[in-house]
Amino acid sequence: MIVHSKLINLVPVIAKSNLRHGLKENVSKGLNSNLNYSQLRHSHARTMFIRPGKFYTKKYFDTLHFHFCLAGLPFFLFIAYQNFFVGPAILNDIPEDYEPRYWEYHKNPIKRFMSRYIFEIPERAYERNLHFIYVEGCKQKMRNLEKKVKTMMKENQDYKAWYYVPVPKETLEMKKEYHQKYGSLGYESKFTK
Amino acid sequence: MSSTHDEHGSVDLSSENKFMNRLIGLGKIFDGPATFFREKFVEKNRKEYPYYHRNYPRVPTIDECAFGDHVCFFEANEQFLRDRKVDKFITQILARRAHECYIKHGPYDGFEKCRQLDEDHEKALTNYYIKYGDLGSNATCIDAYMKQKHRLIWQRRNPEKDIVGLEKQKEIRKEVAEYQKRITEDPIKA
Repeated sequence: MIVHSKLINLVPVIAKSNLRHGLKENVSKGLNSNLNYSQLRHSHARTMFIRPGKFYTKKYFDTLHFHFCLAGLPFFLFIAYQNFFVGPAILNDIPEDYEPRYWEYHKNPIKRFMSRYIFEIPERAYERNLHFIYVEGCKQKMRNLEKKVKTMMKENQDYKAWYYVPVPKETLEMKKEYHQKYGSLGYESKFTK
Repeated sequence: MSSTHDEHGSVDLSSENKFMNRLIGLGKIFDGPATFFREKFVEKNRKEYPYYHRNYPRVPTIDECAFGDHVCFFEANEQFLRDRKVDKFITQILARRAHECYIKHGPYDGFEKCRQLDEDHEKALTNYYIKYGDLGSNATCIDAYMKQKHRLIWQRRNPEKDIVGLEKQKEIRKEVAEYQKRITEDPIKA
């Protein structure tokens, strides 16, 4: 405990005195601990002007300026040009004997441009979707028909397509003799109507 | 008192009230430079060009479609959803009109003067409920068709009953109006 306090007393002295060697006086704790023991040569009047740092503010404004010049200013100019010289469209009734083109249903000129040159024609997409619905409906019907035919064949067992296993005549005769001798199983194999 | 139209973007700023007129004049201080700039520099360089609202042609409904005709069903369903949206907006417009009438006259006078608008709104809501109600947001035209079928069957089996209740509501409103009259004429007696 006593050794520790003596070392703490020496820390401010060691920190402040770069030019001094061999200080023998002990700096006391408490009121006299903030005495300045550093040497001064009085060679010039230039001192370090202490002020807060500029790094973060400069970096902030630099990034702001960067993003504004890259994206903000071009988009602002583009939108200003559009609003000054082009402007939004005005709602009109559809005149007779005229079918409006697919981009003339939008108000904003950018949306008009995009629908005209970038996106696909909605009427075309609609008709294409109807085609796909029709084709899938046809496939569905064919599949249902095939299923129904299969079940009918399974029930009636009267058609030589599905569920037909060709068996030689002699095996059936042997099976009949066996059944006559020893009896058949608990159920009949042909129990459908 | 400023009143709004049903169209989008048109507001009527005119009133007999002096206070409101002065407030509106105050607003014109901000409005003046903007309109000046627009009229001189902007509208001279622009060319007017039109845009239109899409006109959907009528398509055969679900009761005219054959069984197994999926294309017909798809188009009928689209038409059904569009009609549902339109009917929803109609009910909202009627509600807005009745509400504005009540704001103008107050709740006491509005009970008499806004009666027609109220009834229109009620009728629209009941009809909407009869056609589209309790089907859910993922409803198809077939659901509404079946609902109509069941409703007609029920009406055929129970011809005398009135499930809608519009006439009963009219009677209730008449009683309340008579009570109001009695109260105003002689509060102590009634």
